[in-house]
This record gives sequence, C-alpha cells and structure tokens, in this order.
Amino acid sequence: MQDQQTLHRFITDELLVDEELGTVSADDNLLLAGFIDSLGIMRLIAFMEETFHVNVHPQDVTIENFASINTMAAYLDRNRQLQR
Amino acid sequence: MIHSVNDSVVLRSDLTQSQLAIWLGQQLAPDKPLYNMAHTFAIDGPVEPERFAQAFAAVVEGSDALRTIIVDVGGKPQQHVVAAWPNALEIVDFSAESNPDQQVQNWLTNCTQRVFALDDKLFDSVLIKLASRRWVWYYNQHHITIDRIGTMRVYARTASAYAALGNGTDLHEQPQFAAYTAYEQAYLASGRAEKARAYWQEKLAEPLEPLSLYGQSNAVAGSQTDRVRVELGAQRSSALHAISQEPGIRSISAELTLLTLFNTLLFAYLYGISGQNKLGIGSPFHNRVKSAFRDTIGLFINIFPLQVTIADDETFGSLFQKAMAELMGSLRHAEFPVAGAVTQATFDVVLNYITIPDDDFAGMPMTFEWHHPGYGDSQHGLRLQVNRYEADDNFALFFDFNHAMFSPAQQQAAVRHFLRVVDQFIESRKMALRAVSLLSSAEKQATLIDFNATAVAMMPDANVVALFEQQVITTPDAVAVRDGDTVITYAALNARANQLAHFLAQRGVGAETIVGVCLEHSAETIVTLLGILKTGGAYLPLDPAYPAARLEYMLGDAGVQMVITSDRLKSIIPSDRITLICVDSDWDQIKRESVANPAQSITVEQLIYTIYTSGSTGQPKGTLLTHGGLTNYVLWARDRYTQGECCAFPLFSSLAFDLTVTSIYVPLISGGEIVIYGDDSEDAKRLLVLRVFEDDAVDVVKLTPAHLALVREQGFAPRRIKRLIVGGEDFKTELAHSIYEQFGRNVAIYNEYGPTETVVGAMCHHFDPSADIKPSVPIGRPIANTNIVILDKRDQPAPTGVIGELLIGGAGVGRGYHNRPQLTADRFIALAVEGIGSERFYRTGDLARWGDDGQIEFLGRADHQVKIRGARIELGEIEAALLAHPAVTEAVVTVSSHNSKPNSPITYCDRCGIASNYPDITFVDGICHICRDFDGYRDSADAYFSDMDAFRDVAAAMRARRRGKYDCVVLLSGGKDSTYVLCQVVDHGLNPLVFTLDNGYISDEAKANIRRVTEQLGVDHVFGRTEHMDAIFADSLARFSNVCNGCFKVIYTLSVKLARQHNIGYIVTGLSRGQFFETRLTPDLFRSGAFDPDGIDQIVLDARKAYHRQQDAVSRLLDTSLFDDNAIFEEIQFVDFYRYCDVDLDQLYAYIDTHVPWIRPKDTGRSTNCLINDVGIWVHQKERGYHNYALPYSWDVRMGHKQRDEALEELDDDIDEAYVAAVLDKIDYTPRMATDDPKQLTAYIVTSAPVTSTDLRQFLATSLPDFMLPTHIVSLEALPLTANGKVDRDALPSPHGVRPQGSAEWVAPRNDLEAILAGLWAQALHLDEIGIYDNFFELGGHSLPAIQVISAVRQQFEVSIPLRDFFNAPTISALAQAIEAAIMAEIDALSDDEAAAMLAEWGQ
Repeated sequence: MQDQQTLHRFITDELLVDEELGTVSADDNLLLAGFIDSLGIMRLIAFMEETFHVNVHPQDVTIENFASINTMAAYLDRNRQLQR
Repeated sequence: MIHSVNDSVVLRSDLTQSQLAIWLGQQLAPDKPLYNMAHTFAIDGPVEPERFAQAFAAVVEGSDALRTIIVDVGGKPQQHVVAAWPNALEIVDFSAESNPDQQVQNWLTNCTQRVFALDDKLFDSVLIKLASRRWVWYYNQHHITIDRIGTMRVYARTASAYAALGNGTDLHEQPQFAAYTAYEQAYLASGRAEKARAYWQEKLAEPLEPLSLYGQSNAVAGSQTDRVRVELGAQRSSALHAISQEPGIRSISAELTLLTLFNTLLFAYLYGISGQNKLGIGSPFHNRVKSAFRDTIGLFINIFPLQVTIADDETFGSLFQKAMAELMGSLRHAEFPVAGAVTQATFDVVLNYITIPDDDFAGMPMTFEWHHPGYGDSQHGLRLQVNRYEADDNFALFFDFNHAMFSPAQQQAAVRHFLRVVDQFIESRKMALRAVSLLSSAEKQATLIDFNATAVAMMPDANVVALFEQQVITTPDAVAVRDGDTVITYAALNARANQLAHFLAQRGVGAETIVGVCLEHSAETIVTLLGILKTGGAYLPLDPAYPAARLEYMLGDAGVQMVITSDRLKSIIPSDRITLICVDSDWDQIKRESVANPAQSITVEQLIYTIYTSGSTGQPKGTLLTHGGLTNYVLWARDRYTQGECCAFPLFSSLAFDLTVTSIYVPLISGGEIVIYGDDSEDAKRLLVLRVFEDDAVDVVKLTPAHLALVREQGFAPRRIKRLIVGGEDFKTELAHSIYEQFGRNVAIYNEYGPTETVVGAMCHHFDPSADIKPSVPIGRPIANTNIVILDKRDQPAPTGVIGELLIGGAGVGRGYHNRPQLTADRFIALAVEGIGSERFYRTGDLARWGDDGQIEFLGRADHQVKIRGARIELGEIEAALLAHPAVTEAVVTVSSHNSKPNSPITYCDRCGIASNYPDITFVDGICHICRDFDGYRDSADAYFSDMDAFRDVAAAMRARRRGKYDCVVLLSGGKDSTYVLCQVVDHGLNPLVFTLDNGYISDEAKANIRRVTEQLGVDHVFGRTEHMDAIFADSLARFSNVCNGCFKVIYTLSVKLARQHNIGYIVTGLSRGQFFETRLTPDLFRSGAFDPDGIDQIVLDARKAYHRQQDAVSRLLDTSLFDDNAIFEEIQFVDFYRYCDVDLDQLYAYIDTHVPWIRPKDTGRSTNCLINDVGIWVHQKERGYHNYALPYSWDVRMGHKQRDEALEELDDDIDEAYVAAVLDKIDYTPRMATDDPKQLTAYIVTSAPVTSTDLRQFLATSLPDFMLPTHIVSLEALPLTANGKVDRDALPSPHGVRPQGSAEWVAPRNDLEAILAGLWAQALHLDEIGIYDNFFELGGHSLPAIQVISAVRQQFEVSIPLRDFFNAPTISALAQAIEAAIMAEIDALSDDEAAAMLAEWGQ
C-alpha cells in the first residue's frame, strides 16, 4: 500500500488539476478517463525510477502496466522481483 | 486593420524559453510571417454577430495570453499583459458580393500573410458573413503567445461563451498563462531541470551531418515554403489505425503510437532519399506537463530533437521501436525547453502531428481549416504536418517544402516517394529499410523500363572477324587502310591478316590466348589485330611509351607468352621468356602462309582483348572483354556514326586506350577506311590529333575533350570532318558550343560515355546546341542491348533527384579483371532489377542522378579515381609508386582544379558582352546563359525596379522623417553616377549631407569635381577617412581579389555612423543596377516565380545584417559595434537611387555636363574617380583569370543602362603595371597566381632524406606512364591531419606559383630575348621565376601550354618554331637559340633591299 500512496500523492500533486483532487481511486483507469496523457505517464515513470530505484524499459510502458495506480504498483512489484 | 497600442499594462515578465526561441527566429526575418497561425472556422447556421463579438470579448478578457504583447526593453524582450483590447473582433460582410466565397479566398490570401508587430495585438479576429446562415470566423494568431492547442482552446472558449450567452449560464473562469511562466521559472531553478539539461546536452553534443535532401542541404534554404497537401484517404488511414493496434506497435496511448508511426515513416523516407544512417527530426510536443495547464491558453510547445541511427538490417518494425524509445526518452525530460539548451541546429526536418477536432459551434456545424502563410523557419528543408481528422479518423499530409531547395517537379516527386514508403509500411512492418523502393510506377516505367528498352536483335554468330570478312567480299577493292601514300585494299588487308593468323595458329595461338601487341601506328598494326582475332585469340595492347616496369608487370600479370612487335621496338619488351614476332623482319616468313580465311568458331563469350587500367592498390588491372560485347558496340556505333556511308576514321590515339577501338572496327565492318597517323617521337604523338585536323582527310574523329580543347586552341575549321565522337571524360557544354561554332555549325558532336570494363561506350548523346544548357553535355541514353541503372546508397534504384552510383548491364559488360577475383566480385555484380530482370552489372564508381527533366545528370567519380586528359587514374596507384622510393615515408596525391578556363580565344556574349572566361558561363548561339535565363524572369526583375514617381514618395518620406538639418546622406564617390544621384536628390528639394570616403586614392581631378559640384549645389560635404585603409584593401584583395568590397564596407560603416550622429534616417547610394545584380539580386530570387519585391528587400536586409557582422579587417580595425543591435537597420534605411531611376549613359552625361561643373577625369584610367581601382582589376585578372567588372557591366547592359560596346570599351583596360606594383608594395599584398589547367596532379610527400623532385619524377617514370606523373611535388615536414587522424586534404598547401624543388639550378635570363621567353613561360605555366635551363615539362608543362608558348613566339618574333623541336629541347636557352637561328635564316633568305627594309623596321 505504501507504493500506491506514493504514486497517488505524486499523481494528485503533479499531474492533476485541483478540482480532480481526491477523485482518483487506485482502480480508476487514469488513461481512459483522460486524467493523464502520455506526457504525464512519462513524468510518472521518471518519478518511479527515481523514487523506487527501478528501471522501466520502454517496452514495459503499456496500457496494461500503467492503466491505474493498482496496476502500476503490481508492475513495480514484478519489476523489483526481476531485478533482484 | 488598425490597432491602438494599449498602454495600461497589468503584468510584465520575461519570456519563457519557447517564446524566446520564437522571438529569435522572428528577429532573423522580421518582415516574414513565419509564425502566423491562421485558422478559419466555417459555421453553417444563423450566427448572431453581436453575440459572437460579446463572446469573443469575454474570452479575451478572461485570458492573459490573448492580451499579451512583446516589448523590447533595453534590447531584451519582455511580455506585457495589457488590460484590454477594445473591438477585438471585426465584422466583415461579403454577403452582398456576387461571389462571396471567392471574395473570402482573395481576402484570406492577403490577411494570412500579415506581419504582426510584436508590440501590438498579436491576433486578428474577424467574423465574416457570406450569407445569413453561412459565416466564417477568421482567427490568425502569432505563435509567440499561443500555440496550436491554445488556439483551439480559444475557439472552444468562444463557442461555449457564445452558447452561455444564449442560455444565460455563467462562464467558467479561465486558467491564466502567467501561472505557467511562474512554473517554468521555478522549474528551471530545480534539480530536475539540471538533470534534464544534462540529458539534452549529452544527447545533442555531437552535431549530425546536415541532411542531404535530394543532394541539397539546408545551407541553401530560404524562408519561403511551398505547401503540397495529400489526403491519405480512408483505405490508407484505416490501415494505419489498424497497425497502431498491433502488438509491438501499440503503446500506452493512441496519440503516442500514431505520432511515432509517422516519425517512423519520415525516418524511413529520409533514410531512403539520403542514404544517411544518422538522422534527426524535430518533433513538436504540447508540453502541457500538468493537467492544470491543459486548458490554458498560451504557448507551451517544445520541439524535441529526435535522433535515430539506422542499422544495416533495420526493418520498419525495429525502427518503430527505436523511434518510440527515442520519443519516450524525450518525454521524460519534456519540461526542459530544449530550444534554449542547444544553439546549433540539430534537425533540418520537422514533423508536426495534429488532431483536428470535430466540433460544432453552439450546435451549428463547423468546418475547420489551418492556412499556411507560405513561409517557415529557414533552418528547415522540409516540414511535414500530419492532420488526423476526428470527424472520420482519416489523415492528411501537408508537405511544406523549402522553396529554394525543391523545384516544383521535385516536390511532386518527393510526395510520391513518401507515399511509396507509407504503402510498403502498410504492407509489412518486417520489411527491411534497405529494400524499400521509392520509385513510383511512373518513375519505374520511365527510368528502368522505357529508358532501357534498347533490345536489338543480333545474329548469334556475329563477330567482328566475320563482319570484316563479309565486308571483304562486298568491297574487296575499296581502300581499307591508308598510311601516307600507301593504301591497302580490303582484299589485301584480309590476305595479310590471314597469313599472320595461320602463322600464329601454328605457334599455338587460339581461343583464350593473350598475345601482346607493341607497335607504332601503321598498317601492320591493323593486320596484327585482325590476325590475332582470326585465330580466335585475344590481344593486349602494349604502349611503347609505357615504362619498362609497367610493361613487364602487364606481360607477367596477363601471362603473355608471345608479343607481336617491330624490329625497332622489340628491345623494349623486357622478358626473354617471351616469343617475339616482328611484323617487319619476320614478314618474309609469315607471307608464306595461306591467304585464305582460317576456319573460325568464335563465340560471344570468347575473350577479344585485355586493356590495363590504373589500379588503386598500386598496380594496373587487366580488364577482360568479350567478342559479344565488342561486336554489339561496333554494330551500334556503325549505325550511329556512319549512317550508311563509308567513312574514314583516323587512327592516332594509343591502342592502350579503349577509346581507339571505335576508329579501328567501325570502318572495317562498314567499308570505310582507317587513316594512320603515327610518329616516332613520344612528345609529338600527343599532338597527332592536330595533324588529323590540319589534314582534314577523314570524316569521323573519336577523341577526348582534352584533344578537342587543343583543336579549339588552334582554331581549326575543317571542311571534311563532320562528326566528332567525344569520350573519356566530362565534356563541358561550353567546349561543345565553341567547337560547334568554330566548325561553322556544320558538325555533329556525340558525347559517348562508358568505362573500359564495359567496352568503349555504353551511353551516347547527340549534342544539341539549343537544348543542352547545363554545364556538362548530357551522357544521353544507353546504346543497343544495354541497361543503365542508378542505385542509391541502399542499392535500390534511385528515384528522381537522389544521387547514386551508375551501373551498366547488358551486352558490353566484360568478364572482369584478370587474376583479381575479389575485385571482380566487388565491381561486377548480379542484380535483379524490376522491369529488367536479373543480370550482371558493372558498378562504375561514377555518381549520377535522374534530373527532373528525365535526363541523367553525370556527377563525376565517387572515389579517388580521377580523369586527367582522358586517362583514368587511381591516385592510390601514384601514392603507392611514390612510397616505393626509399626516401619517401608518406605520400598523398591530390587533383587541383581552378575555376578559370584554359586560354582559349575569348568570345563575348552578343547581347550583354560578358566574356567567355567568366566562370561557368555557357553560350548558345552567341548568347550567354545569364541572358537566356533572364528572358525567363525579366518581368519579375522589372517589377523589382521602380520609377521616379516612387522616388518622389521616398523623398517625401525623407522630409517627413527629418529630425535635424538634413533629409538624407548621399554617398558621393566623385564619379558620374553618384554625381548624377546628388543632382537629382537636390532637384527633388532635399537637403542632403554629402559623404565621400577618402580612401587615399581618390584622384585629384575627382576631388576637384566633388568640391565644384557640392559648392555649386550648395550642399554640405564631409570626407570620411581611416588610417587603416591600406590594411583593409589588402584584406579585400586576399578575400575577393578586388579592392571594392573593402572600400564599400568602410563607406557603409562610416556613413551609417555619420547618419546616426546627425539623426538622419536615410542614406542614398549610387549603386548601378548592374551592381545590384552582382551583389544582392541573384537570379534565383526572381526565378522563384512567386515574385515579391518586399521579400527581396527582406533578403537584402538580412544579407546586409550578416555582412556587417562578418569578421574581417573592417570589423577588426573599425568600430562596428553600432551594427550589433538590429535596431540600426530599422533606424537608418538605404535607398538605392537607381532602383527608381532608369537613365542611360548618354542622358546621364548630357545631364551632368549641362547642370554641374563636372569634368571627366583624365588621371584615373577607366574609373572616373579612384586610382586604386586599377590595382583591384589587375589582381582580379591575375588571380581569378577574368575581369571583376564583367558581371556588373553585363547586367548594366541587360538592364539597358549601358550599350554593349560601351561596356566592352570600358572593360578594355590599359593598366599601368608599374603603378600597380608600387601600390601592391605599399599596401603589402602579394598576388597569388592562378592556374589555367583545370586539373593537375600534386604529390605531397614526407621524406626521411633529401630528394629532389627531378629525381623523384625520374623514379616515378620507371613505373608510371607520363599522364600519371604529378605536375607538382611538394615536400612537407608532416602531412596535415584531421581530428580523426585522416589526411586533411583541405589543409594541404597550394602548389601554384612555386617553382618545383631541385629542378636544374636556377639561372636568370641573360638577355632580352631570354627574359621575354621567361615571361611567356611564366604565363603559360603560372610560375613566378623560371631559369633558362629549366625543363618545360618538369615545370608541369604539357602540350597545351607548349602550344601557347609557340603561338606567342610566332606572334612576337614572326618566326615559326616546330613544336617537335621545342619538345626535344624544352628550355628557354634552347628556345632562344632556335629563335635566333630562325631569324638569321629568314634574313639570309632575303634580298639585300628586303633585309635593309626589315632592319629599318626593327630599328623603329
């Protein structure tokens, strides 16, 4: 849950407009809902790499991995296991 | 549209980085609408104009970006937000017009190109009524404050405000751009920005090679662009959408995928047309990094430089992955303003991907369009805009081609090439980029199929032997060979050849045997060749002039066991293992053989001859040619060149050049005759071609352009010779024209192209004096049964405009190189070509491209192989020979060229009088190409010029602008033209301040004129002076070979200062119209078609800015800081008086003679005011080989300001060389010497021990033929190297003017005669000092300069020295003796009276 909260904070602070604050849940499809576009995802990835010390390969940047805060957290787990 | 600047500024801040980038771009072209974004929104419905105006006003009121202007604060731009724009929307009503749609179109054309003043309202918003239910909202926005997404927000906001006003709802408050300005400033100070900066700087550290767009780089680009729109249509669009969903392609968002998909297509296309594998494009991205900014009206856009490196096996799919990774990397560092991070241009091409929304306007249907302003950033050769229409999801492509780089035909071709890439991408993502074909079906048909439709049926057993024997039956008694008084009939020739053949066959000669032939030109030569061929064997020509070592190598390499030679020459055949047969001393034995034709069974594949050509590895290589190839060529050549007649051909060139083949076999199979030209002396042999033209006893001559230049030099105009076949090297149109004229237009000239490897000729062009206007005569079309293909760097058939290598396939392709399997495999390749099929091709190493006129344009060698006087030379072979000398440790050989032409007789254009020695000038029917071109754009050029009515307006503007005492500065040189200008300015009621630069060389009479004229006119006059004038003249001579450039720059610099000092807004110049064309107006400006005087003014102004900022003696020695600020060019304007005034020379003189006390100076030579002018003219002639006034005067004639005779008379200077020398000494300038020979070999060597160039040349002569001996040998301490450790060829010193080291000891001329001769040699050889024992040929002389010397001797001393004598004793001392002897002989032959008369004449 730690990861989800970190991601949620970054998304709400950096990527969303004020009035959307708090309306994003961990399962919301951020891409489909138009909350975040590709530029936002790339900023998110830069943030993930820095904060979680992982390496996100361009081929991992898929809808499946980045649709929601929960899928991102799951991807982070897989990524960490692979890098171990 | 009238705007009022609103003074109530509510907010000030610096520009964002993206704004700054646009601001800079606009500063570079302040009068160009580079950044206009003009939109129209056509609304079908009953728009209420008042409500619309109210809605728009609300949007303006709610958005700071729409109220932003850019203000210059102390040279630094700031953005100010003003409180309001009253009447922000205009309303125009076209509904009463007869054709409102047309009216709107016309209106739009004007308005979209409006140039915005940055410190005023930066948009135009106009609601146009077409009918009560048809409206168009026009909204043109300058990019500096709002980007495209921003403009769409403006529309959306306006639409919702309109709707809200209708139903009374409230409008949301809008986000302000100021929030982003603050955000960016905070970001730039953050650590994230530091990391991003490091990312971009590292990424862009290595600049890319400029992209070659159809052989053009953006160095020639201008700001004018041409837009070509292409709809991709439903089928292609839906295919691309489907692909964007494929695994491996599909990414996190559809937008990202589609953008990358088009980036991939663009990269693949650029790779295809350039062959370059490191590619960069610019990709604009919205950069609204927080969703808080998504709805903000403003400028956010960032342009990412995307770069990919294409691998050899790259596929569309793998390229897509690379492009995606590259874009993602950029997006991670997106916030950082890249434009500010890198100063150098990192891309020449831009792709802009745009989604066009499918919106309505408050419930009414709306159609959106984005209008192109016709201009763009001059950094970009091509901008591709991809529109995706939300309405139907289809794509449209908008190609914005840089007008200066793409002809209209090339634009169309480029679009077709891009679509070919799209279609092949749709077909398969697995396709390799190397395999992508760019040719459209029409190009394929034209360049591959139609061009190569050369099939001609040939009898399967046809060969030259059988064809000759057939001819013997047809014309047994006709003359086959003529050698002086000796004639040999076909029957006799055949009989002798048969005897030799039987003789040889008995000694083992048969199919695939190579027999050496080492003979002087004689009838026996022909007998020998035929004799060998009749056995089924092949021959190897051995030029007796070749060094023994080379002959020995060739004999050994070819495995020759028998050589046919003559008694006299047999000693030069080096090996005693070789059987020698002498056609003279052994003939008694040979003639016992049968005269009957031997039975023969020659096949097409059988070897016919081997000729050795220069090889890069240091040894020559033997090309192997077959009967089939030769027969095919000879049959084609017979039809083409004899045209059914029995023609005589001369045999004068070496058998070792395959060019000679034509003159032997074509007459022998067509009943013609061979006329033998021979000589014992090697030097005289080089001039045999002149005897051919002197005798004029043949019909067709095959020769090289170098030969033809000799023929021109000697002025032959033969009556019988009617066809010339020119081959061997690049054939200049100018030479073809002058020969055509010299021969009374009664000659057919053929340019034949083909390497030795594919039998003599593979392509041919019949020179057309009216149609051939490019610098080189075209190489034409393939001969019979021949295929020509140009392959690009990917080995794909090159599309129109792309430079590639020329390949030759078909009957003529030889077997390859003897004993060189690797080299043969490299150069002779099997190739499957669509429309031709699979066959063997020879890679010529020659570069060529398809021109947009459907002709092949020949571009020379791809490697270090060069052609000199018809011979193909590998520089590597000469370098290897140099390195074989024990003292030489390093060697580089270069070919030097020079612009000027050989000293052929100078002719003058019938219209403008420009001389034929002007660089790259070509004549057709006596008219130069500039005049011919000018016919095509004369109207546009005329439109640039104006009339005196317009000058009156300018004069009025000057008076209106006047701040102090003066209306303008007038530049007065003291010459007639500027004096006239001054009179006219005064006549127009203006009060000028007159400025003259006293450059230290103004003539006294000119100064007197200046004083009298200004006094009588009652105007104030000042002289400008600088102590640095001499240094500036020396710098100008070094840069431009003239003095005027330096002088002009000082005049402009000082006069601008003067104008500023007196607060004067205008400077009036007296530049002639001719000078405009010389210095500012290039024909390209006019030829552009879309002619626009303002555009030209802008270009001229841009050029002037660059001019004043150039680093040279003026910028070093004078204070030029006032040009650092662009404002000076606005503040002080130049008025070229003769732009308005059209006056001819007579009128001008008549006027000043009667109006002012101006007297034509007599102390200045041709110029009317300046004494140093002659020095410039003299240096220019000497260094560049032509007159620096030739071009401006030709323009004066073209513009009707001078008569041709007047111009020619003025150009005919009589320059006092002693004065010139004194001035050059004073200003400390040493002229460089030009060279006339366009190509000379120079060897640069580094040695471990001293070695003289004479020794070295002698050493080289043991292994290299004379045409490969370097003209100059320069010894260096070390070779200059590039950063990559390669020899820096550009940094090698020029060898010209330097007397070669170690020639005979220098002895000065001892008397007048020798001194005169030394002068003639110096002229011909372009050397400074010549000793009387120096060998003419060691100094780099060859036959052409030798002829010049002998002609000059004939003219000056009225004696004829035989060239042969000169060749035998080529020193000044010997030549002087020969001249004295000849004069004495003449005097001896005279009667006493005649001798007395002659001596009396000399005494005068």
